[in-house]
Amino acid sequence: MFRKILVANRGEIAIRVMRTCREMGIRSVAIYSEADRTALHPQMADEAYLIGPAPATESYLDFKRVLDAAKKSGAEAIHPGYGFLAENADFVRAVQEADLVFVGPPAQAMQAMGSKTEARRLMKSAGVPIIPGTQQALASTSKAKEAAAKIGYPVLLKAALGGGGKGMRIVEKEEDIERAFSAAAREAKGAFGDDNIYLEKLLPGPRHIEFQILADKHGHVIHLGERECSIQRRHQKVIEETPSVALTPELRRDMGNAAVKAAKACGYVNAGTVECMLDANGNYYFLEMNTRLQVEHPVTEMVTGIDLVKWQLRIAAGEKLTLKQEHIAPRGHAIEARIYAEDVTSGFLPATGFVNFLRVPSGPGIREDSGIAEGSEISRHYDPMISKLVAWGETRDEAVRRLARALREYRIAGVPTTIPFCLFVIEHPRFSSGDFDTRLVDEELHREFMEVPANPEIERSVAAALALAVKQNGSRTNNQRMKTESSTSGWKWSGRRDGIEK
Amino acid sequence: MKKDIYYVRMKDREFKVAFEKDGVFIDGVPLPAELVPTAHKAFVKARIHDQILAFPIDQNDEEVRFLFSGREYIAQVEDERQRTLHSLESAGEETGAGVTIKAPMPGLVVKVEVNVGDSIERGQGIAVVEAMKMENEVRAQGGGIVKDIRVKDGQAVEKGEVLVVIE
Repeated sequence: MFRKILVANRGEIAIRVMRTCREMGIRSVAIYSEADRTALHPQMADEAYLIGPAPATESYLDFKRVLDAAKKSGAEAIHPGYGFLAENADFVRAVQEADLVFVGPPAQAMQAMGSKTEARRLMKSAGVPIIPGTQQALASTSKAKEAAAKIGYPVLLKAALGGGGKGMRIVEKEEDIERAFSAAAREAKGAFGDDNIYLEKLLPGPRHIEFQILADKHGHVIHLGERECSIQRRHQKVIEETPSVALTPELRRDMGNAAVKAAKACGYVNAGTVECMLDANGNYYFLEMNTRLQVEHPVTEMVTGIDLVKWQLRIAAGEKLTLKQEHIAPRGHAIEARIYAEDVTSGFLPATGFVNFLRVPSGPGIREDSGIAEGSEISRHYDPMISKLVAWGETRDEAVRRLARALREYRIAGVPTTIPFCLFVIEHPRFSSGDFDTRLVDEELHREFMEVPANPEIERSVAAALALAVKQNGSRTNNQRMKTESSTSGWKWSGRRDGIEK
Repeated sequence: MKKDIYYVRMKDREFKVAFEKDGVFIDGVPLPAELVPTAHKAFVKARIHDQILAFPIDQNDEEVRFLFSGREYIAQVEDERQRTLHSLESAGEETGAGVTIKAPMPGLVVKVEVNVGDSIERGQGIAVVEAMKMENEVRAQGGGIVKDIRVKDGQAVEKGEVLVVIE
């Protein structure tokens, strides 16, 4: 096993990986940007290296700076987390050339799956069902029009190297395709450095079901069951759970087998996720393979009792996967809420600011994977996800009630969060019924959420408490207080930021 | 001694909280209420009836935002002096020229989608602003004629910066 690992990421996922390292007696190395001087992740590691300025391209995404830190620290392996360099095959090669181990799949498998078009070709030949559409990038708008006419509207334009809803556009009719095509290409170029776009038939009301894979270097591949991620807002997952209420044992077995087949078809090694769409008739289609640890991996860990990061490290070190498919026996139900620093009252726009107050929930069945602490700054440079709140219960109902209880316990100020929205969703009758698909949030819950009436009784009490507090404290702004009273490093940092950005 | 009165407005409801010699009154009804000391200024802790409410607040010059029991509240709190001041200010604004459309978050203007002189409708896309690598369309809150465009494509904007003026 490795003695020291560099975690090439920040925030909650960096901390999550470091925790397992500590449990395994492995020293962890953090890298951080100037914007993350006071962040939590460098503090959680055994060693921390400042690698560059705030923009990710000059820090977390810069191969050379990341590898230099690895060399300097004497780390033997690099865990990429998710995002940043996690799915960059060139980085995997650079890591190997530097005589280090990449904790993840081989470059070839990553590249094959990283290109959605190539993945579609590969899956088709392996006999895994794919959504009708093109298996090549579209050279122009006219080609897009042609392909769309052939399979029929509505269609989905997607970035060939995309993910997470970026560079993706739904097109309902031909006259919209030109505008959507250029917008998708522009967004794809900005997010992935590649503007290749392909096209798929838009499935009406699919559910999003994904399977967790573990594969070792000795050809042994298993799946750890599914996660349902149909609760999405503008293609961003909001709530994830396992098991899915939509799967029968037979369908679970079939889809699980297909997921293993998909992983084998591309020579996959390490932890990965096969994402599928499930239609109302129980037909499933391969969507994409995520060649990394997923944001929502904790729900699988909660029901299987298996530490996925531990297995990632053991597999990367060449160990055999001693878990057999028949040993995987999920117990109970787990559900996760992603908490973003977003302003739900003004259209879920990303919010920035300082976390002035923080008290996180705990108690029975609760796991909180967070990347922030009191005083942390949520900057515009990075992803606005600040925490993942996960609940386990013997039944779905118990897990949901626990998550709701924990969301109510959450105390945070300084940045608005999506906590109210998560709570609204999981307590909605449509969510409880299990009768929903990927359209539920965008087409129904989003609007309903905006119109939820307040409870006048609670409002009255809250108003009284507020008046008492303002009477005592005056109407000073605590955001200003935060800035003027923080230590000199805050001033230094602020000066540096101004220098960089202007 | 003059009575201490605070007006707390949340969405479309307003509460009048009066602190008098013989207790706290909310909309004229007595309410057993007292502040419980906390170490943290941004943390409100109060006993209201038999319940202790505790929630951190985020306060600026215009509003107080807070999360309480999983729900977000945005409140405007004014004392009587501020109330009088504000009512004078808003009377003057009525004659102001045009409505401004502001950047809802810090980011980069990818594209301004209107030109000076365009007639636009409520809900129409005005500009695309990129933040966190996501493109967000800023829409008009109301209709009118575009009078002035204050930003150009590729320009970085702060939250609240005026993008376009509509008349």
